[in-house]
Amino acid sequence: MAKKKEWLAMLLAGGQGSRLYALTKALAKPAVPFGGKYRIIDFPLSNCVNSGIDTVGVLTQYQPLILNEYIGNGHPWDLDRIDGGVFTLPPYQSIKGSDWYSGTANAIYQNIQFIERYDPEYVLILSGDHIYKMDYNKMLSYHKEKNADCTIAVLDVPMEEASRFGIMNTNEDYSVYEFEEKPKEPKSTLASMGIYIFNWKKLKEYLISDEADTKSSKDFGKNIIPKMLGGGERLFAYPFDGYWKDVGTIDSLWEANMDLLNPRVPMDLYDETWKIYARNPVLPPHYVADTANVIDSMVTEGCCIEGNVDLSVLFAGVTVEEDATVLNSIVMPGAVIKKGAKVSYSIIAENTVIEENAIIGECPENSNDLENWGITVVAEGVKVGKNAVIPPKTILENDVEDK
Amino acid sequence: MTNKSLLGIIFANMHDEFIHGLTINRTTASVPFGGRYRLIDFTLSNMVNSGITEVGVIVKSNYRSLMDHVGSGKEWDLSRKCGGLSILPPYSTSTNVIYRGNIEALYGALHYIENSTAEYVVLSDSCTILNIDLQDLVDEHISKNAEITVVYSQNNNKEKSNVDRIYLNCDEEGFLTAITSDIEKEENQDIFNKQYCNIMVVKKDKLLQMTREAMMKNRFSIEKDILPRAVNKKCVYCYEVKGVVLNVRDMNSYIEANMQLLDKNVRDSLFKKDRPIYTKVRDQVPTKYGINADVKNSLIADGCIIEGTVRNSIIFRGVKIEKGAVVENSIVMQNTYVSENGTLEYVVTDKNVVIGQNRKLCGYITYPIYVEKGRHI
Repeated sequence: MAKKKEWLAMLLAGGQGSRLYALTKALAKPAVPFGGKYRIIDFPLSNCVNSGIDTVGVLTQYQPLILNEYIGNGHPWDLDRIDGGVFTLPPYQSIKGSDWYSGTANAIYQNIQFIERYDPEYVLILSGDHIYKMDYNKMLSYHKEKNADCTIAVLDVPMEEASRFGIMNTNEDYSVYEFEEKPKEPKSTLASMGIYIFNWKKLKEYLISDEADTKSSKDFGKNIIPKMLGGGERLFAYPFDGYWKDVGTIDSLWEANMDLLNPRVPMDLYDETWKIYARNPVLPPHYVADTANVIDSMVTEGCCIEGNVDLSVLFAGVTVEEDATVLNSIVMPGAVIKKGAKVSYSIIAENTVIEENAIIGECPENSNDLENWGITVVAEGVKVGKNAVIPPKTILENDVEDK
Repeated sequence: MTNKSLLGIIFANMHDEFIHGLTINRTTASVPFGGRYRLIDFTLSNMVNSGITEVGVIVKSNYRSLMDHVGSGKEWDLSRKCGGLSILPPYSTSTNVIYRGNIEALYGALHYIENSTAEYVVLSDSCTILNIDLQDLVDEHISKNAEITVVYSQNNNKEKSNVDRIYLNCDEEGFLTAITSDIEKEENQDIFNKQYCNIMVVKKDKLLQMTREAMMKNRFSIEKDILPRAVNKKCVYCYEVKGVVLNVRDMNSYIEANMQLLDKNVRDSLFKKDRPIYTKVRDQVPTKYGINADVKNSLIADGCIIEGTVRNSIIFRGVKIEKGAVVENSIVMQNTYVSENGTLEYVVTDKNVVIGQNRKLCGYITYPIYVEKGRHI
């Protein structure tokens, strides 16, 4: 039996992220690179550590290799602890048989034993696909203050966007009386951020009864929360005002990266008191050559820039050769943009090679067909041949020959 | 590769007196270098990349910054149950004073060396920057049946500075035939183009015996007392290391070595994919370039915010260069802040320096200016 903990975090990281298409072909969504030197999961993990949580269970299922390797023993996040630390929790076989995680609630249900080992008062449920900085400790204080059974972090979203989210309808004291998943006519603008604090004893009861319900899809939003409301439990919304972005689509992933370059967006990664930790790639500082022009961009270790980089985020070990141009794009680790190539409004995945004079994507202002314009994606390890032209909104998964 | 068990010994304080300024508050080993490193990172990484898992760092004074940097050795994978990293501070007793040379330093660490199960000991200062496979060195040492093997590099493009350098020569088989630090003497000029890299390998038992004997005879330095006596005796083998070797011995060579990193060939030779240089991770954000940033021919670490102009410079982690500021031919260390319209030319700023608005600090290539840690100008 491990030492008793007041609380611990369970991070749902098993999602495929099918709307990220080629980017998550061999990678779980939380492991998708973000912001120059991070992966998405660094944000919730760092938030946990910065909030004083020392035990985190990461529930993995879809393509876990890279994610498992990345988390390792948890050292980069200071989660290699004698007592607690970070654990990856894949589905497992038991005497009753084996089962994949069939929903978010089922994933936690299957790990009741893990949580019980720490006998926690509270459990924090997180998802691995959001970019934000949040002090969960403040949320816990709020949870205690309200004497709640469940507290759900909510973001005030514009009314016209509210129908895309799970909406909490609350009374004046923020107690929740109704939860609506993607309502056509929203009654409130408080959108669930997918961050929950539960009293563990209560949650356990509901997990067990929900598991027995054959009609349930075993999901927190769809099943557990409505059932708790129906059972007369105390549910509260915790209003959060800060930067929060779901990076589940190509467009939102691209936008969230671009937000880092925008001084008006309240996402300060340079705040020393709330650092975001990541596994370090062990590369020398980046080099900017005489022929280079770098403005309005983020560049990290191991890059070598001889060309033009404007409004872009370059990850570790990216090469941009002479006369190549990278504009409004995200270039992931180890990619090489060769001489004269032009990359605009694109996401270039890890270790791709863009050969000389190839043209990837297009600026919207140059587009003749804005209807069909969009962010171009070049998948991991793809080689785009010389002089090849890849039109906007393409999701390129295979090599393209020289022209 | 024989995979003989090796013990690494690093002398952290050797050459402190030459790199004055930079070593007021730190050891030579912890002098910042190349944007995100300390000199010891190269020595430690070479050892770790060569399969050494037991390293003792002999320190003498000012070693707080070094201890802070290396910590438990985790970043170099040297936080181990067996072996790992040990800091070996001096302990003065009535018979034992703070050491005067590497022999005396070794004598202070004799028990540590004795207790190691390693068969061979690699000794290294931390003033030479290179990427070397030490297993290969030990293999040659064994195959040549040498007592001591010293590492040298062919010094073809003579560096401008030759403070505190040792040169050697060898016969066709590679055994030591001459050693001197005096390159000015005309008769020495052609012979001594082999520059000693302050790295050697010795069998552990031999090292212990050699150290004890030398102490009895009041000999304190391997290079000054032991190697000259071994000339022409076919017992000291000279191993040539290929690739880039940079030396840091004084402020001029420090600047020169840093600036060499702006050359791609130098970077490729030092920072190899399969033999990376590890350092303490600071979890910095990527560097952000503003709309007015204008950077050419510079090496830039993470965590910087650059709004101004940077030319031919080395910029360390967490440096902020404001709008209108100009940094040229300079080395700007961690957390330096260059305010609006500030100018630095041929300047080395130590950590946490602040350059005020419109302040202008200009040295010259032959007379660089050094700004001490934490100064506000």
